[in-house]
Amino acid sequence: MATSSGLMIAPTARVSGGLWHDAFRRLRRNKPALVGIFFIAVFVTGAILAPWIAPYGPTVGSLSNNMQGPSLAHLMGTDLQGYDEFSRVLYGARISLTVGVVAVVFGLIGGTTVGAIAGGAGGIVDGVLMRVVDVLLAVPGILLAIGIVAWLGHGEIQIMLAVGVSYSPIFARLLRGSLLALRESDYVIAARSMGASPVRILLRHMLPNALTPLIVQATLAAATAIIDVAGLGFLGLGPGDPRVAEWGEMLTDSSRFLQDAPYLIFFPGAAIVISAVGFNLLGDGLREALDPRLKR
Amino acid sequence: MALLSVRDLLVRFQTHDGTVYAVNGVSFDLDESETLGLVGESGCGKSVTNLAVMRLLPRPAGRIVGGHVYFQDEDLVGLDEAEMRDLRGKEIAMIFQDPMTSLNPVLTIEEQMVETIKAHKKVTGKEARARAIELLAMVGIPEPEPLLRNFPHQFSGGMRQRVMIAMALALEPKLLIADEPTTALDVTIQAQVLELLSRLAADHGTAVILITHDLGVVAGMTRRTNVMYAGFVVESATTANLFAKPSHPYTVGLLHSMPRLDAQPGEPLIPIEGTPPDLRFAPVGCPFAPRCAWRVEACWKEMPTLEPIVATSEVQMTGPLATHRAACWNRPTPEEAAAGRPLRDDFIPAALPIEAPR
Amino acid sequence: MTSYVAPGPGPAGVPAAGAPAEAPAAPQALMRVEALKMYFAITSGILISRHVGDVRAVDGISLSIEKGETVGLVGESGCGKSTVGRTILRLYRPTAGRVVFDGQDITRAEGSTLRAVRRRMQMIFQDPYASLNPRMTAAGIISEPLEIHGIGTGRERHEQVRDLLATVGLDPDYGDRYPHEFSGGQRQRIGVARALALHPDLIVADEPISALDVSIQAQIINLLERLQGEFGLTYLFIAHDLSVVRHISDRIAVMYLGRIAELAGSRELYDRPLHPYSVALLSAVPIPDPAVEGRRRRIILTGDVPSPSNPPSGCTFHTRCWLRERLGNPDRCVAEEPVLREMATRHEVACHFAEEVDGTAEQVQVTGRSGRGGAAGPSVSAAAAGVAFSGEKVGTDAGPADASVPVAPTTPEGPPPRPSRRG
Repeated sequence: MATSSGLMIAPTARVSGGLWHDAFRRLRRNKPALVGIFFIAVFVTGAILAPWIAPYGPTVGSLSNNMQGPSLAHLMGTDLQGYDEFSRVLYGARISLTVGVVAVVFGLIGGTTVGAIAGGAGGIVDGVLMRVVDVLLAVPGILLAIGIVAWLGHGEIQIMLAVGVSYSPIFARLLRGSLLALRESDYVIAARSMGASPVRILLRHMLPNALTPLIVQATLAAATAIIDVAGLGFLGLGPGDPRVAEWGEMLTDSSRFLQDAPYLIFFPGAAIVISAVGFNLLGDGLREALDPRLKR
Repeated sequence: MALLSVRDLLVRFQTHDGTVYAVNGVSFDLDESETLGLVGESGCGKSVTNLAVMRLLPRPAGRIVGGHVYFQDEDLVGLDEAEMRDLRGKEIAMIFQDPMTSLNPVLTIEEQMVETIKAHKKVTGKEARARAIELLAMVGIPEPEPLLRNFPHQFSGGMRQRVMIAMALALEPKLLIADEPTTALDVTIQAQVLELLSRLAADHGTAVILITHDLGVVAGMTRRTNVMYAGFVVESATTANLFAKPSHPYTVGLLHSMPRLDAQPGEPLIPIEGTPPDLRFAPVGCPFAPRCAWRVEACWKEMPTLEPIVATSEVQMTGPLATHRAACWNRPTPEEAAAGRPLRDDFIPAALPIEAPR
Repeated sequence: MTSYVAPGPGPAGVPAAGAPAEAPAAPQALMRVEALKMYFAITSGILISRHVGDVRAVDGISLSIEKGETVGLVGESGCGKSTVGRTILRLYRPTAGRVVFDGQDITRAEGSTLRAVRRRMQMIFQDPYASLNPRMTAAGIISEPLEIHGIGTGRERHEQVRDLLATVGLDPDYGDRYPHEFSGGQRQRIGVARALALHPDLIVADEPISALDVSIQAQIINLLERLQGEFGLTYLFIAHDLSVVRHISDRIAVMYLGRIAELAGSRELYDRPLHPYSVALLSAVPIPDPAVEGRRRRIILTGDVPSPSNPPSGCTFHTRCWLRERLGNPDRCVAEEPVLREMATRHEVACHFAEEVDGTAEQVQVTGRSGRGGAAGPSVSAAAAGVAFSGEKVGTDAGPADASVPVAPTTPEGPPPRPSRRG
């Protein structure tokens, strides 16, 4: 019968607008992820608008006014020097968020390069690179970061590098694993059978599909990066300038006043936790939203 | 008295895409020691029906929203979980398609079998182990004792399925539900496993519901068969009659679209046009209508009920023909069933009504 | 399909004499493989990988495919059929042997030579969900081969893609949709369109319908057949479903553990299988007809397929061969690997004792025909209901607990019905 395959088969009315669009819609439905986005938005806005919305500068205050509890004039109280805590938290957001995010970016760059080379080259190159990665992974991230800062000295860039390097192994592993798995997928083999060049296959077929786990991991890494940066600050390895507001250092300075002025610990600590949780929730939401398998 | 009597079963799933109408009024009977085939493609509801019988629907999404499942005169739908647990394994057992996922990969075979046996019978570990060995031998695993310590991944697919069968029959259930037990197996292994299944069922007098999409498997294994589509039973008959006198366009379509090993070479396949329906829409009318070459106006409006294909006044209520039922407003005649398409002059399948509920 | 006349079965044990009705006219095959081997190395080791063994996926295959025909490659899991398909397309580098495409030896071809040849042979994959890049639109997927080979301008490619979509039965307007928006059957059609884009001569279809619903399978089979006529395609059709392979193929190669057991015209293979494995395979395939099933006599092979990394010596099938057991376990099966030899015109078998298969009850009974010669049509007699399924087990002593039934030659009607096994 001639009609058996001549029938035009059309899919039903369009329910999808492309993979990113679908992912975005799924994300919008995910309440925890929306909460996470909200948290991040609050801090990012606070950080960007700090000079305008902070009631005082980060180093404005007088010693006579120090260690005041939260009041209308000072929403989060004043610290040891008499500076307004609320303003310092806002300015501190700039450092924590910037350093945290840039650190992740450094980590991504380093990690994906190594991962791509290892996954692409295979053989001895892969073996050697992965063993180096294994060694780096064996060292706890924070120790690695401490080591690097100790070596490079204080400063924002140094912190970014340190934290970034401590995350590279994870990204390298992740990308390499994705590439190896993708290499065996049917559509990659199909591309090879068409005569596609390896570069084309890498750029057009493998990398776009390997991005998803990286995006999720990077978002989650941002959460821990914020904590790591604060941790470095807490240990005295922060940006170095005591006048700069940085959440971790604020914790260090106030740690002995737990009984007398708990608000000095509570507010910066809460800021760290909430921003980290925000990224975590977003990361989880992204993981669920970006998984193409979930759409049939 | 039927061993199992399903009446007007309705199962729905709540997903965040909406409600999925998985089973839409399924009724059938199963006698003791009978092997019943449940045939249909993916999404027809055959597996869901049986999960519902076992009350194993994934919660909270899956729910039985109507109907009854009478097992030995007791309605399973109303039982609580503890009572169902008592029944499962002991009275009703189930084996699944992929033995790799239905056997726990981190427990040895011995641990899993002994667990099943001890869950329902008061026996010592030693007795349970002896019984396990006996069962493995029964399913044709040579020298089973040393294999008890192995893990599922150390067995081949066919062996794993045998282990599943052994576990399912451990407590001599009255009813065994086999959900696509051989779909994942090679054809020669499939032959082994099916042969084993039918022999064991005969030896122990176990009733079997065999779920499959393969009409060839059903032809060799079952006495009666129900054909399902989109959550409905569309035809029910003895297996012999189902193939001899297919009376529903879907059955006719299936038979003509499957290549047969013994067909004449060059015999064309007549595919069923279109695609299976989206179960996220509540069914209005016959779900097969969009693909049906025999459809008439009524098909779009109302789902036909399962009716005997021969008016009951014409035939005694005994014999296989009396129980041959099809759910169709415009059943194919025997000649049309043989040809695979309508043969009436000027017959045009009724067009889609403008305000189609889709 | 090319018309190939299979010689009818002759008297028992004698290969059919007489010339075939039509001598093949093509001087050279479109695709030919000679003694093809494809081994995958098994390695172990931490830093440096040591080669400790091989998975012998393809262990010496010789096959030729004529222009315009459909050759079916059938076998169970692990037999190497998919690997043959991929090796032919040079997705792997053969370990040994030759691959000759249209007279050109491409066994070691690389780079631009290979690329040029790639235009003429394409592949259709099994899994409609995995064979399309989820991040590309249908149109993008289909036009990619054209882009890679620089064919046509952007506008011309766009038109080509629309044409291809229509050819495979999809609405051309849906080219900008993503794979996940289509059903399995529709995705498979996109895969077919992609394979067609370059107008290849040869298409290797690797289990193209196994992942589809039964009612959709027939659509795709018919599509492939129609396209073969329209575009003059040659197919290598790889599948495990013997019924489908028989329907679509002109010739069939039955594979077992990396080697070809039997190679014959599809009708001839069914009428007169000469390899014990082919006989067992055919007998195991279910036929949707209870009357026929009731008459059939199944050969139940015992044990599992051996691992391709450690195949049995000599004839790889000897560990499960019913014929060998019947003949008293001759040593030749263990000691010597059988080669494909021509038992009848264009009917090759790799078995030392293929002559013994001819005329046995097993061969004759394989599809429940009563008597040999000419296939019976499907019997639809309701009176056949209730005939017991007499599945006798032919096995070795490693078989199931109940004693294996000795195989006695029986009348073509089969042994007397046993008590009904179905409830």
